[in-house]
Formats: sequence, C-alpha cells, structure tokens
Amino acid sequence: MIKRVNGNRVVTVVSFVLVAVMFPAFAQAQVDPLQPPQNQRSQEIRVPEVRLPPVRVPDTRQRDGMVFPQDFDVRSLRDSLAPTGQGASQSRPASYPEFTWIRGRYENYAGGRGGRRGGWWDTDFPDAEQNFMRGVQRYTFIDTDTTSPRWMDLTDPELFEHTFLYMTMKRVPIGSMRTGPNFNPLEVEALREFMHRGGFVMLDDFWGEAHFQDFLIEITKIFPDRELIQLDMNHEIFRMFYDITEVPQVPGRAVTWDYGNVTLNDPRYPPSVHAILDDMGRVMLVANFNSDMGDGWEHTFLEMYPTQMTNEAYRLGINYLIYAYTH
Amino acid sequence: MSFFLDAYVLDAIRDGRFDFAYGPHPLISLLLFLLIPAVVWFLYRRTTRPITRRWKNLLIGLRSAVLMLLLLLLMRPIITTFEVNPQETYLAVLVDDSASMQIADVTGFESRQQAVTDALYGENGIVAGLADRYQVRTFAFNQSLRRVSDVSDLTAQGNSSSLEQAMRQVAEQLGGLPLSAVVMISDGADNADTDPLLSARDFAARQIPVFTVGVGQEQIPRDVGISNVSASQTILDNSVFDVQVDLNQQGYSGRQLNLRVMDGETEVASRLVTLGNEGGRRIELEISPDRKEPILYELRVDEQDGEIVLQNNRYQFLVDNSERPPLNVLYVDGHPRNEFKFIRRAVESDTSLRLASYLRTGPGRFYRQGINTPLELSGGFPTRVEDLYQYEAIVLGDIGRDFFTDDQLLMLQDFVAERGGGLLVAGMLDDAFVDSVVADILPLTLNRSDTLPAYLQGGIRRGGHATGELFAPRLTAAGEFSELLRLDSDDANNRRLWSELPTLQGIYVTGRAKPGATVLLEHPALQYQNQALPLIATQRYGSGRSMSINTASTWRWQMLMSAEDESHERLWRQMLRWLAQGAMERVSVSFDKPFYNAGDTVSVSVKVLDAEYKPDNNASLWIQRSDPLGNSVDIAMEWDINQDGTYVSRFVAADEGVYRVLVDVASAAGTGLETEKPAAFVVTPSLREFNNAGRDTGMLTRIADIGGGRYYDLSAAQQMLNDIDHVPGAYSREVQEDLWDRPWLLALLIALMCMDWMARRYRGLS
Repeated sequence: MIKRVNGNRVVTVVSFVLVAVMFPAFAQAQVDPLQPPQNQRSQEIRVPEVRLPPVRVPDTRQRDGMVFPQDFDVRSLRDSLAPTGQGASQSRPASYPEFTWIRGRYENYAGGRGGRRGGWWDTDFPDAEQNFMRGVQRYTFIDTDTTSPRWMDLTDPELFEHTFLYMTMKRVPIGSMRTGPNFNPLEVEALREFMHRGGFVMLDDFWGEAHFQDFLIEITKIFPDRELIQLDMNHEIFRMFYDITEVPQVPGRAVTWDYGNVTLNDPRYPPSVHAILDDMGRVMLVANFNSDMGDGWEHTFLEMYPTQMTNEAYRLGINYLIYAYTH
Repeated sequence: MSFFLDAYVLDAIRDGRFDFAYGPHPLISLLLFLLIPAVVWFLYRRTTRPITRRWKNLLIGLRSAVLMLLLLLLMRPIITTFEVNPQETYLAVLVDDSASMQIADVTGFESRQQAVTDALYGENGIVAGLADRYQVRTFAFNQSLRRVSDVSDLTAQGNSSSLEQAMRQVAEQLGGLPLSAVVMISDGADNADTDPLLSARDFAARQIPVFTVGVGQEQIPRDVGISNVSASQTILDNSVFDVQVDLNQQGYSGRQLNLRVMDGETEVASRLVTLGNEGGRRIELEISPDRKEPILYELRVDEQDGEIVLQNNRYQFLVDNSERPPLNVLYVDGHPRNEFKFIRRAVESDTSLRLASYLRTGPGRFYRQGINTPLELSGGFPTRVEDLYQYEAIVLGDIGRDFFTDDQLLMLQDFVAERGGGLLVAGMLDDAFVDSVVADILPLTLNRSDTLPAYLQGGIRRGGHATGELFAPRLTAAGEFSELLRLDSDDANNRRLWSELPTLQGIYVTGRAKPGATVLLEHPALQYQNQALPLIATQRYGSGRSMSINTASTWRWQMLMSAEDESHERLWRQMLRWLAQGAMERVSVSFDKPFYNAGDTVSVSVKVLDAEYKPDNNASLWIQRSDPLGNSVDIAMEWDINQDGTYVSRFVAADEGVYRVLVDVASAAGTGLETEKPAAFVVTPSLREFNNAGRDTGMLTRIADIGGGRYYDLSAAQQMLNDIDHVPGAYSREVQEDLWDRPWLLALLIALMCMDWMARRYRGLS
C-alpha cells in the first residue's frame, strides 16, 4: 500500500517536471481559444438543463493576453494531491466548483449571427476570467477554478443556475453604436428577472460620454423605473474585502492606450462606478465606467501592463464577488 | 302518609327491617296460610247450585285471598324505620344559583331557575313541607355559598358552580348545629376543579345524608356553542395566529353556519362550517392581527332557530400581538456560497429574526452582517457563555472543525441542551466533526466520507457522481404535515406547491436518523443503510432542538423560480423561527389560567434566568399592571420560595377587558438583562356555565349514593318529603311503624270482598 502511494507521488512529481519542461508548448496548446473551456467540453458530466449551442468561439489568436497553463489550477492541484478515500474509485469524478464565472453573450444587430453575434461580448475572454479566477482562488475562500469560466446567452434558462453575470459594454470604436449590447426584449426580460431573483450583474469596459449614453439607454430598457446611482467611495461594496479608496482607471488597451502609448489616469475618462439598487437597497447591477477590469485581469502576465492596475482590477473584482455573495 | 307504599318502606323491607308483631312460629304461620285455601276448598265441595269448575276455582281463590289478607293483618306486620323529632334538627337546602340555571330547557321552556323556584316556594313547595319538621336553612351557591331568605335572592348569575365548595362551606357554616340532612338542588353541571364526591363522603361519615334534586334536561336538544378557543402564534409567519375553536352542537347536524372573528365590530376572519354529527369538533382559523398590541377578539356563531342557549354563541379571546424583540440567530459560514447569500436574503425583511452572520471570506478575513455592536463576533465564534447565549439559534454553514476549539464545541452543546437553543447544520460537515459533540447533537449519524460505498462518493458538488446530481426531494409523511415545511395551510395546495419546486442539486451523505429524530425530507432515489438519504431532519436535544439540512442548494428554490415566488423565503423563515422560537427566555411571564372571569384571583409568575440561564434568585422585580379602565398600579413581586428564580404576584381582576402587565427586572448580578417585559391577560364574561350545561344526573346520583341519600328529578321532588324523615341519620331515632293500617291494604281487602260477593251473586249462590 505504502509502496503504491509512493509510486503515485513519483508519477505526480514526474508529471510536474514534464509540465515545467514543456511549459511553452503547453501554454500554446492549453489556451487555444478555438476550444471551448474544458468544463463545457467534458462529456461525462451530465447536466440535464444545459443546452450547448454549436460553439464557434471567435478567433482571437492574435492576442496579447496570456494565462497560466490550465493545469496549474489551485483547486485541481489540491484535489489531485488529496488522498483518495478507502474504497473510492481511483479516478475522481469530475465535478464543478460551486462558483462558475459566467460571461453574458448578447446580440447586437441581427446581421451579426455567428460567433460574435454582432457584439464584442467576448472581449478579453477567456484569459481575463481565467486569470481572475486564479486570483479569486488564491485570495478568497470562494470555491472556483480557472477552467470554469463560461459564456452564456442571456436568454439561456441555465443563466438562473448562476448568481453572478459579467458583461462587457465594449463598443469599438468609441462612440460606435454597433458593437456593444443592444438588448432585445427577451434579453431585457431575462436580465431583469435574473436580478430580481437575486442575481448580480457586473458591467465593464465602456468609455466616454457616447458610451455612457448608450449604457443609459440599455439600462433604461431593463429598469425603466429604477434610478441609476453613482456609488460614492463610502459604499460598503468598496469595503467588502479590500479597502478601496478611489475607483481606479484600469486602462483599456484599445481605449486609453490607443494600441500603443501607455497612458495612465487619462483625464478624458474619469472613472466611476454606477449601480442599480433593488427595493432593499442592495446593489443588483454594478457598472465600471471609464475603467476596464477585463483588461486588468487579462494582462496579469503582460510585462508592459502596469501591475498596480492589474491589482486594482483584482481588488475591485473580488469586492464585487464578495458583495454578490453576501447581499 | 301516602296512599301507596313509600320508598322508605320498600327500602326497609329490602333491608330486612320487616317483622310481624304477633307472629307465631314461622312454621305455624306457614301452616295457617296453607290451611286457609284447603278449608275454603273443602267448604266449596258442594254448592247450592251447580257451577263449573272454573267458577269454583275463582270463588275459592277470592275467598282464600280475603282470609289470607286478614290473617296477614292480624299478624301485624311492622317495619323498623327512622324519624326525627320535629323542629329539633336543621336541614340545609342548597340551591344552584349559577348562570346555567338561566337555561330554559324545562318543560314549557321555563328556565331552570324558575322551575326550581316554583318547586321550592310555589304551591305545595318543598321548603314549606320540610319546614313542618325541620329548621330549614336555604343557601344559594355558585362558586361560593350564601344564605338566602326568599325567592328574590336567587339571581342565576354566578359564573361557575362548585358543588364541592358548596357542601364544604355549608358544613362549616352549620358545623355546630344538629344537621339532619342536606338537600342539593342543581343541574349538576359542576365545572370546578374539585371533586364533590369528597364532600359527600365527609357528610356520609358524619351520618348526614345528602339528597340531590336534578333540574334541566340531560341533553340540551338544540344548541350550537363554542366551548373553547385557543390562539397560538405560528412559525409560518410571525403575524399569523392559529385559532383553534372547539364547537359543540346538538340538533343541527348538516346545517351550515358561519364562524366569524370580530375585532370590535369589524369582521377579521370567517369560515363556513358544515356541522357533522352531534357532539364536539375542532375548527381551525387563521387571523393576522393588524396592529402590534394585545387584541381582544370575539368569535361569533349566528343564532340558529330554536336554539335554547344563546350565551355560548360568542366567545372572547385574547391574541397578544405585542411587538417582540427579534429572535437572534447566529450564522457562521466557512466560505462565500449561494446558500449563504440566499438564506440572508430570505430573512432580511423579516423583523422577527435577526441574522447575525460571520462569513469567512478569505484567509484571515471575515465579513460580519446583522451585528448589533461593533464588537459582536469580532473575535469569531463566541468564546464566552454569555456572548453565545444571547442567540436563540445557531446555523453552521460549510465550516471546518478547526474553526472551533474544543471548548467552543462543548459550549455549543450546552447552548442546545441547557440554554434550549436551536442548532442547524446546513450543507456538509467535514470528517473531523464525526467524533465531535456536534455529531452527538445532530439528528443524523455522521459518516466519514472515506467509509461510504463508492456510489455515494464524490461529495455535494455538482458533477457526474450520484451525490452531485439534480434531484426532486421527497417529503416524508412527517414532512408533509410538519409546520416547518408548509407552503400552504391546505394539504392539497401544499403538495402541489412542493411538486412545483425546482430540483435541488447535491446531497451530503449521512447515516441513519437517530431514534427520536424526525426525517422531513429525503432523497427520492439514493439509499444508504437501507433507507433513503435524509435531506432535512430534526430532533430534540436536551431542552433545545437540532436540525440537519444535507444540501447546499436550497438557493435554487429562489433562483429557479419567479422573483415573486416566496417559497424559499417562507421555508427558511419557518425553519429558523422553529429553531429559535422554543429557546428559553431570560425573563418569562406566565399566568395561572388562560383567561379569567371577573372577580377571579390572577396569579402572575415570572421566571428569571441569569446570563448563564441558571435561575436567578437575586433579582428584584416590580410589576406594573394596567386595568381595562387605564389605572396603573406598581407593586413589588415576591420571590417564590418553592421555585428557584420564580417571582409571583397575586391580585383580583375585577373588571372585564384586557389587563396589561409590565414586569421590570433588576438583576442583582447586573448582567445587562433586558429589563422590561410586557404581557397581557384578559378578563371575559364566563361561558363555562353554558358549556356541557346538560343536567348531570350521574354526578348527582353518585353524590346522593355516597352521601347516604337519594336522587330525585325535580318533578318527583315531593316524594323526597316522605323519604327524608326515614333515612337513618345522626339525629334520627329508630321507630317501629305498623303497616296494617295502610289505606291501600284496606282498599285491597274491600275490593277482594266485593269481587267475591259479586261473583257469588252472579252465579246465584246464596
């Protein structure tokens, strides 16, 4: 028995060495965005209510984001190192973590069917969430893993099996009406119901007055009779886990950097956080205006991206998550 | 002397107190009796005219009967009986004067009181008849006894009848006098707690016979009445009260009637009831008081045609809907998860619960919600008894054993067993708890995960393993009717609502339910140790309660149902209230009766516990009571030497209406006790007299039998006048009474002789 355990350890160690040696190759292979995240591909897991549409994730091969190899996942590592129980099957059954990061896929204009469906809903996907989930695993007790992030149509009934929804409000170029969300009535209905039932929605990455006006139009579709408020820094959402004293302008590379020049705290885009509250005064929807958490997470390992801003993105993101879990 | 045999004569004969004054030897007597028919037969051997054998036999028979009767009278039959010397002794007449005597169920719809008055004081009244021989003392009784001199003193207003009290008090009042007998006139509807047979036995021991006279009908033929109402707070919703109504009816089977609950003149609830078989049945109503104070409601049943007793168609009851401080629930969770979020949300708007939560959000980090002071829970799980005991219930989420010290777990055990709190484990427990006291407290036996069979391994997480799949939980028989898991008070609706709940996901595998535990919800398919995997189970533990919920997915009842649906909220509020509501209170006020009638003595007792929930004998308590007229009195409460930590106060409640009391506690220990505790009670018109108000013949007969007297119906009460003299008593003497001079004997003799003569004339005999 003891021998066998030792044997297992040897195998584990050897496999780690292999992983380390082959790291570059793995990094290439593992993050191939043409493949859907692992949890969606796995066939053994039976989730009766999930309907997976034919997946065609947009081609984002030429991207600067970088993630750790997926097998470097705290949870998977912990599970694989944990001793198996007496009489337990040697291959552990696959299971989901409790928390799955869901990115909302919306439809912008009718002509845009297919991968993007007309919107830039997938900006920074999936590197941003995979990096962020690693941070969440490391800094909080939220049960998640880096392989779990998924995207989901807003009208998918499975949306209600989750409680946290991330969406980018990205419009390219700035001022364009053609690339951000343009919620159709079914999506509006689903989002409103999602939030009324207790779901939390985080909107990210929209810039300048033109985007803000768009954003107001979209929000008004969902909540015509609720007020959009700007959260001041005394709101508890900024004290949930980290003390955040000012809203950071996490740079969006396409926006404040113009794909090249490094600009921090661009005065054209003062950052702020806006929210919609429910009848009990709880935040149901939070929107980062003039700030881009997605880029902050995505570029965790990009040398030229300032680590301070990545940190800010993690801190704010984690605060939102903890808030969503407690309110 | 009556024409026929009096009852006492028959008694005497039956008891063997019968003899012949001139009786020769019994054998000679027998010979004489046999000789008479023989001689008569001999003399009839030949007649002056021929007659048939039948006629001859008739004539022989008649003549023999006449002669034998004469012989009997000549032998002078006597009985030994008793009598008292006229006017030398006393006789007590006790007349029921309680409100049930108002009931008009005597022949001709006369009230019982009227019938009694007629029998006592009318023509040939009993009192006059008795007064010939005795010094009669008449008393009226209800809950107590008083002397009456004439009819006008009987009012039929007493709100209870105590036969025992009446007899005991008459024994005391007439203690020194030679009392020959006691006559009690009543409907026998005794509703005191004491046993009248005891007093009857005392009289029997003193050789004072007790005679009873019953009035009224045994079954009131047509009546609908409310015999009892109790209202209790439900755990369903803090502002909903269950009202249980006991309804009695006779003669209205199949009739539909409307029960209405009135708040003043406003109807707040009603229910149509179709009456079933005669007798009592229980009906439940729900009311939601509209204001936070003690409210006096009146339950009404409409008057039915031909109903005899109307007084019991109304019933007043008190519902104490005073503002209460919220129940404190401590919720400790090991990591952020949906279950935590939605439990919080479920009780957030519920003012009857305060959920103080401690959530471990990350390494070295925690987040507190619902705390009263900045310091509350700042050090994690409380380490001091008084800090822990401020909660009524504790919920443990998915938290590791290492979060607690051994002392904290022991304290948790005391919290449930001694302080009477509730413990809920929602989700799963790590294996390290298997040998801890928590495993002892919970209703289900815990298993180490590595001892489970392979098909039950994999944990509570969603995935392809059996314990991580979706399932529709199944209510057990106990669960279906448990108030914890009710979604609707109607059974069919409740079943439907349960069937509409979304599926759950993931189950934590435990072993069998412990003896005494109740499984309310179980897995529909998975089994372990030959029983379905329990999902929700409860049990009592010491003075408290414990509960297990073996899934962390009840949040799906919220997220997968319409936002308007309140099932998730309702279930969690009920479960938490159930856990917390039964916990002991530091100060509890109780009254010795559920309600009072005007003039009753109210006994208030207050139990005070110190910070460690031990009885506190060093407190000083003041009670402020406000009567319905708004007058307030402050008095100190006295410590009850017989019971630790109990303080009492007694006073008489004179007015009808709602009384409020406010108990002010100053504990010598000075432990920051909530100092004021309000309570209320009600003084209502009594309906006791109109419940089961039929004549209780059985009771009256037993009293008479034990007391050495006799029972009579009111219509036959004259008979008593003859009998009462001849019952042996302490002051009666033995006398011998001749029977030969009874009128009916002479009448019989004359009749026989006439028949004999007529028969002879008819047949032409000389």
